[in-house]
Order: sequence, then C-alpha cells, then structure tokens
Amino acid sequence: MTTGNPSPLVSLFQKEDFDDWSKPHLVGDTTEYSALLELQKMQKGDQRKYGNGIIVSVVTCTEIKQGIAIETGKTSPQYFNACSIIELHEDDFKALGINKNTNVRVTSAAGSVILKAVVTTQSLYPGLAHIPMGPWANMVVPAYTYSTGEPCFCGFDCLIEPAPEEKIENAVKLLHEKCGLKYVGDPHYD
Amino acid sequence: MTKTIKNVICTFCGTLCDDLEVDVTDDEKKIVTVRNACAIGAEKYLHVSNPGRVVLPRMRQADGTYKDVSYDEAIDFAAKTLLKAKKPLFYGWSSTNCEAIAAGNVLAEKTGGVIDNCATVCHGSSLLAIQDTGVPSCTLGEVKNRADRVIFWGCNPAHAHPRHMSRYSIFPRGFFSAKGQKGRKIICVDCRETDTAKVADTFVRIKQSYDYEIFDALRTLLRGEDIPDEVGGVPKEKLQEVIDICKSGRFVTLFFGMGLTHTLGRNHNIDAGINFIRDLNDYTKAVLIAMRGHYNVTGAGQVLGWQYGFPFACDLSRLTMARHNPGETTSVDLLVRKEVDACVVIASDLAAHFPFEATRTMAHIPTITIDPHISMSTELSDLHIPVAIVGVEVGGCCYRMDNVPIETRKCIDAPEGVLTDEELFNRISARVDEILAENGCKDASEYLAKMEA
Amino acid sequence: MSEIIIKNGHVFDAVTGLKGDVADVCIKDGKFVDKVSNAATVIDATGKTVMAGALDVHTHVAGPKVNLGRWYRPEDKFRLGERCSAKINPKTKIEGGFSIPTVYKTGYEYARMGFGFLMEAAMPPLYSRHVHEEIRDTPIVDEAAMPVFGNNWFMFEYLKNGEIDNAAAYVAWMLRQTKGYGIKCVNPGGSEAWAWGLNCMTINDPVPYFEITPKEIIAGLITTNEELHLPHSVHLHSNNLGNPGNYTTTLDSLKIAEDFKPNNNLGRKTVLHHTHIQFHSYGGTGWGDFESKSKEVMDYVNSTPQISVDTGSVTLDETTTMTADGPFEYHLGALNHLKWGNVDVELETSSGVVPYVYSPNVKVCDIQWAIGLEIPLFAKDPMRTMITTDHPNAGPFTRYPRIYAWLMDKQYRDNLLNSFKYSTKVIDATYLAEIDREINLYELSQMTRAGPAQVLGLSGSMGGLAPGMKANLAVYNINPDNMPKGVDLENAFAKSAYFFKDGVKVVEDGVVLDADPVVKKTYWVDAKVPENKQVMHDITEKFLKYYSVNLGNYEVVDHYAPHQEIIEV
Repeated sequence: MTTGNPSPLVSLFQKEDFDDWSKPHLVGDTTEYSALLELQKMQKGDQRKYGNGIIVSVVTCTEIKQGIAIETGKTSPQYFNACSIIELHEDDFKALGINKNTNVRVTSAAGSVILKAVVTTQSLYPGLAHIPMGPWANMVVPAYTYSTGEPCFCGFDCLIEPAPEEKIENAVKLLHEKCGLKYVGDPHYD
Repeated sequence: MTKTIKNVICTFCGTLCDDLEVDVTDDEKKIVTVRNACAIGAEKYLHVSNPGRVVLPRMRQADGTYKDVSYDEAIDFAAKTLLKAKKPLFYGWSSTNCEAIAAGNVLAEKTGGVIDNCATVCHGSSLLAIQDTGVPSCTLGEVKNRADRVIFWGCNPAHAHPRHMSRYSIFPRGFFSAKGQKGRKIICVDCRETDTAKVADTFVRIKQSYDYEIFDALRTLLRGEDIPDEVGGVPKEKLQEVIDICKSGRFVTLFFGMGLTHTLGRNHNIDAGINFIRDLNDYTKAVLIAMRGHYNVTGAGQVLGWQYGFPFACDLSRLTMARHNPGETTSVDLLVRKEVDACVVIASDLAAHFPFEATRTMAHIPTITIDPHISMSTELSDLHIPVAIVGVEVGGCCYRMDNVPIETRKCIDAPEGVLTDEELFNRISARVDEILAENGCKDASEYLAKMEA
Repeated sequence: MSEIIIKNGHVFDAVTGLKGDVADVCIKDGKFVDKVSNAATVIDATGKTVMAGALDVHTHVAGPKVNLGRWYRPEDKFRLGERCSAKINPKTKIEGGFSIPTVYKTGYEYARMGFGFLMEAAMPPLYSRHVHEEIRDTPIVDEAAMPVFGNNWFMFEYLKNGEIDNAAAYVAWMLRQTKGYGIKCVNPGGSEAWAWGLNCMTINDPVPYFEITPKEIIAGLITTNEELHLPHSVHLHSNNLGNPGNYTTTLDSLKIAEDFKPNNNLGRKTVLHHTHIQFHSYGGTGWGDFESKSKEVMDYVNSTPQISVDTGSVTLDETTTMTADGPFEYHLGALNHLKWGNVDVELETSSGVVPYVYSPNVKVCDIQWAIGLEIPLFAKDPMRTMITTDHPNAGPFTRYPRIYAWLMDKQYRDNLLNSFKYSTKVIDATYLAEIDREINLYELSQMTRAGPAQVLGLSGSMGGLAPGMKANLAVYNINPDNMPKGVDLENAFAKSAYFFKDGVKVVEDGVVLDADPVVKKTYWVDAKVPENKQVMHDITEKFLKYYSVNLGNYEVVDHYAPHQEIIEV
C-alpha cells in the first residue's frame, strides 16, 4: 500500500485489527492513544522534521469552493477537487522537498489519508496546514470531544509525508473501504 | 415564457438572504435563472433542475447495491427500525424547516430517541458557553444601522457566509451608519489570513489555539492592567490597538465562528469572548453574534428548545423526561462509544462531516438517511428516503443566525410523488402508532419488552 | 358534541352574580347554555367550587426571550421536588422546566390550574413568527400576544409630530402583520436608548436622537389606542422598573391616563393597564432604606377608574427574569452577576434575560414579596386588579395557587413573614403585617376571571358562566362551607378536580387526560382603518433602508396560527 518505509505512526493504522468495529471502545487503550504518544515522541522541542516528513498543526474549515461543490453534489468532481487537498505554507513545501500539487500522506492520531498538497490562497504560517471540511479531512480528525460534543476539527498535529505515487480515493470508496463495507462502485460518480 | 418570484429566501447559510429573485418556467417545474444570490446560493437553485434527481426511496441490498422501493415500504421499514432500537439517534435537522423539525421531534419522543442537530459539531460549544455566561446580542439589522466597530473572530464570512459582509456587517449604510464601510473599523482575528482578513482594517494573526489567552489579555488591557509583551503570537501593542479601537466605538459587534468552537478550549474560548463583550459594555455598547452555518441550524435548536427545553443533544430515551448532557448525549460521543443502535440522518450529512470513528458506527448500525440529494450519508445507509427541497420546492419557517424567523418560499413543484420532510415524519409517526396499536402496546418501551420476551 | 351538566357546585361568577350559591352549570357544543337534555353527562360538583376558566392578563410563555431562557438554563429542568417532568400519561408529551417550562408543560400546567386564556405580554414584531410558532405548539389554552410599540421608530416619528392618524394606521398595519392583540409599551424610550447603552429613568428624559419623551410616547399610544377602539387598553411597563424610589415615576406615568376616556364597544372601561406594578411601587433611596410604597400607588389606582393593574407578585423562588426592558436586565446582571442575555431588535425594541434568586434570606426580596401581596389586598376594585407573577419575572405561573392561598389566608402569609431572617426589618418597611383582609372566592373570581376578561375586551365570551359564553370551566376541591387553609388550599387550586376547555374535559383530578381533542385558538385584532398612503410609503422606505428583512417577508402568514379568532374593530 505504501512506498518506502512507513513511519511507526503510519504503521499503527495499517495493523489488521485497527478497523475491527465490533471491539468495544475503551478510552486510553486504543490505537489513537498510542498514535498520540508516537506523535509527541516525534517532536523534539521546535523540531518539526521527522524522517522525510514534517509535523504540522492542522485546521479544517469551510471554504466557498467546498460550499458550491456541496450544492453541485457530493459525488461530483468539483467536490473531489475542492475537498481532497491540504493547503500548506511555502516553507513547508520546501521542508518536505516537494513541488506544489504533489500527493502527500497525512497521518494524525486518528487515522491516515492521502491528499493533494496545494499552495494556499489564504495565507498560513509555517507549521499550520488547512484541509477543507469533508470526508477526507475527517479521516484524520480526532473524535475526542472534551465532553462538549465537538471533536478536534481545528488544531491537531499531523505527520505529512510525500506520497507522489499514491492515489487519492473517491470519498464513497474511501468510506466504504475504511468502514469494512463492500464497495460496489457508485452509479452516481461520473 | 417565465415567471419571476421575488423576495425568495436563500436556504443555504445562516445569513438567510431574503432578496433573491428566481425566474421559473410557466408550469412551475423548472428554475431558469436566479438573481442576487451568492455563488453558493445560485448553484443551489440552478442545480435543482439537473437530471439524476432521486425520486423514490432506495434500500440497500445484501450485495451492497441499492434497489428502489415505494414510500409505503420505506415508511414501514423506518417505523419498525426505530421501534426495534433501544436508543435511536436522530441527527441533522439543520437544512429543513421548523415544521418538519417539530414533527420529527415528536417521532423521536414516540420511539425514545436522542435528538441532536448540527450545532453539536458547529456552535454547540457556543451554546454551552451561553449556558455558562449568557449572551449579549442583537439582530443583524442593529449591526447594519448602528455598528461602527466590527470584529470577526475565527470566522470567514467571505467563504462561509458570502453576502454577510455586504448585507449586514461591513458595507451596508444604515440609519446611524450612513457612511457604510467608511464609518466602520473592521478587525479580523484568525490564525490564517483569510479572505475576510484581507477586507479588514486591522488583521490580528494569532497562533492556532491561543484564542482564550488573547481574550484574556484583551480583558486585562481593558481594565487598564499590564500584560506580557507577547500573547499567543501577538505583540502587546497590537492588542492595545484593538482595545483602543473598541473603546472609541459607539457600537461594537463581535462575530465569531468555528475557529473558536473547534479549537482547544471550545466553550471556554466563547466564554472568554462573551465576558470580553460584557466588560466592554462598561465603556460602550457591545454585542456578539454567532456565525451559525446551515440555514436552519438555529431553528432546529429553537424548536427543540420550546418542545423539550434544550438547544441540542436532547435524550428522550427514557420516554418520561428529557435529558441533556453534552459529552454523553452528543452525537459524536454516542457514536464513538457505540451507544446508539439505529440512526436517522435528516437534512444533514453525518458521514461527510463527522470524524471517521463516529461515521464508522453509523455505517454499522441500521441507518435511514432523509435527504433530497445523494450524499456520503445516503451511500452508507440502509435506506435513503428522498424529500422535497426546503426553500425551493416547499416553504416553511427557518431561523437566521440572529434567531430571526423567516418564512421561506416555494418556487417550483417537487418531482411528482416526492414527500416533504414534514409529511414523511407524520407518516412514520402514524405508522409507529399503528404498529403499537396492533401489538397492544401503549408506548415504545412496552413494545421493546414484548419483542424481547 | 355531547352535553354536560355540572351539578350542585358552589358557583362563583361575577358575570351572573353568583357568590357561592349552589347551582348547576350546563354546557352544550362548547358553550354555556341554560339547560341540557337528560342525555347530558353529569359531573357531580357537590361540596366543590365552580368558576369560569381563568385568564392570565400578563405572562411570558412564548417567543425569543422565553426560548433563550430555556436554551441557556439547563439547570432549570433539574429542580427537585416540584411536579417537574416525568410524564404519567402516554397521551401527553414529555414536560420539562420550572421557571421557563416547555410549551407542553406550559399548556398542561395552566390547564391543571383551570386557565383557558393567556396573554403573551411582549412580542417583538420582527420575532412574531417565533411567538406564533410557540403559541401554535402550546396545547389546550387559547392565547394572544401583544407586539411592543414603546420604542418603535415609526411611532416615535408619528407621535412626536402629533400624527395620530398615521400612528393608528401603522399600529393597525402592524397588528395585521404580526397577528397581534394590542399595544404593549415597555420602558418607553428607554429600550431604544439602550441600543446606545443608555436609558430613560423618568417620563421626561428625552430619547437619544429621537427627542421624544416617555410621557409623550405614553400619551400618544393611549390616544392611538382609543382612536382604533382596540379591545384592550395600552399595556404599560413604565420607566425606572425595579429601582428604589421609583414609585414617583409610576405615579407620574399613571397620571397620564387621567385625560383619557375609554372608547370601545367591547365593554372595556379602562384606558391604561399598568403591568407588574409590584416592581414599580418602591420607596427609599437605595437598597438599605428600600421600602414599600404600595399604599401610595394603590390609593391612586383605587381613585382612578380608567386604570387597571396586575400585581407581579414575588413568589420567593429561583426564577428567570425576562423583559423587553434591556437596560434593566443589564443592571440586574451587574447586580447579581448571573448570566446576562440581551437581544436588541432593529427599529423596534430591546430585551434581556437574567436568572434571579428571590431568596427569603434577602431583605429586599422579602419586601418585594410583601408588596406583591399588599397590592391586591389594598385593591378596592377587584375587577381592575389582576393577580399575576409577571411569569417568570417575579416567579413562575405555577405558583399562582400559592399566591391565592397567601391572599386568602392571613395566617399562612403571616407565618412566612415572621419566619424571615430579617422579619422585623421587613415588617417595618412594609404594610403587610397590618393588613387583615383576606380575599374571598368571589373576589378571586373577579381578579382572575371577570376582571381580566373585561380589561382585555373579552368579557363577551370569557370570564363568566353566562349562556352563550365559551364553556371554559374549572371545578376545584374547595368547599366554601369548610374552607381549606394554607397548603391544602394551594393544592386545591394547583390541581383542579375538573377543567373543561370549550366544553371538552381535559383535566380530571389534576391529571391532563388528552390535549388532542381541544382546539386551541390564537386571538388577534384586525383594526379597520382608512388606507393611508403616507404610512405605506414610510413603511416601504424604512424596510428598504433599515430593516434586515424585506417587507414582503415580514408578515406572519396564516399557517402560523391554524385556528384564529379574529376580533374586528
């Protein structure tokens, strides 16, 4: 599935039993928790570089393109193009050693997803990245709510690694496969 | 030939613009053009008449494919699924009218469900802060007529509420604000330099998740006390400038968005923001307004409020009393902890906007999605029931972000045979009553006990 | 519809003049009639009290600020004791809330106490749709709502220029748009001033920018009201609410009514209704020498037949205050540091919400409590004095039975008065200890039935048991020959033995049976005025320039009030 050597963080989510839905959910004894510790271990002080990747803080927000695409349809190419991206600061492109519009693997304590790294129109600072809200972003959004009902949509750490060979999945296929459901193709996709 | 319908209400975002003009064909079947709308609103209206609309309920088969079924079958399936469930979750409500919400809540009471709306992942934290601290607010017309200081904090109306700035907050000329934008000082606080920040007179870039500290610093400065040279990535001078701008204004308005509610601190950020505004009232007039996202997420909370007393996350599963305990009765937590055993997603897209861990539970329990369009949720559901589109094919009441109710307008007919949300809920409720009567049960708990026995 | 006869009850009714006489009351097709056939269902009311359905002249039960209260006070749902939630009848809905109950609880609780009609006391016109949605969802009781006019930019302009015709045309237009019932005036001028963080403290403080005084506003509104022949008088919440020494402002406001005569053909004899007058009858210069001035205020009210009042009696509970008096709520919030809610409404009004604890251990609260009882006890004309709690401001409406018991049982109220931590100080600052009067059942029926019906212009159909009137009827487990005392009296009023709404039995032994067969109606007033081009032009212009909604989207359309009772004047 991956090229090269996956980081210890990514490999956590590639274990066979990660997606075993029938297991009860125990706080403090999950992949999520191990992943969080792993992420913390990777960061030493202000050091954000890890292996060939970098660690950034991610926010997920609404965007006008995403808004229009929702109205066009969630299975439309517009929606795919608007939401399966991650916006990075130019310095972070340099740190990753990739050109813009390259696919990257984004891994948080909650999961891992392939996205296209693009240059932002709404400026960020180095170390801050933005993913438009949607099914792709939610693959990495930690579900922990601090007893408010609101998951960590903004301000969670992610490891970003170049993954130029990887393909970005369409949202329905992505959800079906991750949920362990049978994906039979979708007639609504063009 | 076409007919023009005026004063159409745009059912996309919480701004609820009510000045759209829609041209429809003479037979009232198709929308031809739409004027005055933003890019998103226009897409919403123009997209309605595209081919490929789902007009019959779709049931998922064992092999993963979908098959069309009749509304009667779908309603029967929904009623039985809900009655069999101990604790069904009714999530969504933000993109339908209040009439449907009221009817749906009654169904949830009958079947002992948990009612939660999109506030749970949007402004739920704000509501919690309001429960702690109160809320000094006003209508958007007051902002238009009086505001000379406008702060956008953690929100990006240029993208999420495209006409907000021109209708209410930055550009309009009102009674006491005849100079429009020239008479207003705009401050934007965000970790990204958003397109809203580019319109602002003063942009304060903060470090992500330092909102609470900065509100605190502002309150300290407001009282004339000293603060460190830098707080959350912002120099003291910049914060002092914000205070000076606010204090010199006659009417300060703070608009805040999910930049505050989704970030570390959650409700505590809003709490600090409300207190900042309250403090400002010692010097000048100050109010704040939450930038509610979906066009009727506010209404969903209002209806739930007057029916059961809580704005969101309302658990009726005890059948005799309503409970509200954020963190326990909120959708994401319920789903992540696998505490619900059926799910109705209505007028919202749970699968697209919940963290994956929650979505996965929804995919594994019996799920019914009620939505006019194909969405991520419909594709993970056991049953998708299509309905008429509110604000396009059916009217009804919706609440703007400042809680002002506006009656939406019907522009064209719904495709033949497609029910409205309200009709659908009333029919499912009627079917639930029938099933209970057939089994001689007085309520859902008796039915469950009988089934288990 | 079936026929019903309520037999052998002690009937108290100011309309038919029955003062506890044993009589039968007959109901047919939702109305009272002289007699019914032998087939009629018989209800035995022997040894019980029979009265018409009660009316609440001033209560906040529906609308934006009530719902804000529900939203932001989850703690209000979890009070111990009190008949708070747990439903016992699957035919009714889940109930919740104490000081700001849900719509279901509101309807059920009023029905249990024998109420058939409520007046929602403050409807911001821009939010009227919300008010009507809640009214629609409130079961059983009939309702009406009064839009607020005391801080309206149109009215400022017309009244300042003395253009009463225009003011009348505008009010008539507004009542139609909002399906409203009458003219409510809250802190005239002060709520507009609050939009700049200011207030009007006396009736002569000019409103910022608009340069009109509260006095001119009140006088202008009364003139407009009488010009339109509206069923209800101007409903006033005057300036300076809640402050020590405010009784002078109150008297100044009341005196404005002296120059006017009622002009209507619905039996109303008053031109000004001053609401929750308890909050306006304070003496002293601060909280230290805070004292009752109820006697001074009531002496004036008693001598002025054009004025009616309701009490706003404090119940000594934890409650939620809410009013269109924005500046007051801000100051209250600054006083008790509990959560402050505020909503200013463009061109129309402001409003605020703050929770409040009326503690028996706080001297000021006890004095307020005493004043709230002194007012009805000083009242010479029960037809012009109505008992309210200004729900939920002075206490929840569910405490009406307790207030009735305090008023009807001197020992009950004196026991409480003497139990206060600062009882000596409270007794010194109030008149209550000296008052021996006990309100009797007939006077109570005037204060809660015939009186409010007359003041609201509804005496033709409500507030009495005369043939032809709406068959709203309550039977209480009170035997006048053996009057219950204190708590027993309270319980008897809280749980009526029977309550009939429009001839439908909805309550039996204090339990709501099934609300579905009852048709609940929304009352509103359609005042006919000649077409007024000037006003329509002003409206169009102001909507275009200053409102945030379009004129075409302002009207409350019919489906918000599925069962309307329109009063045409």
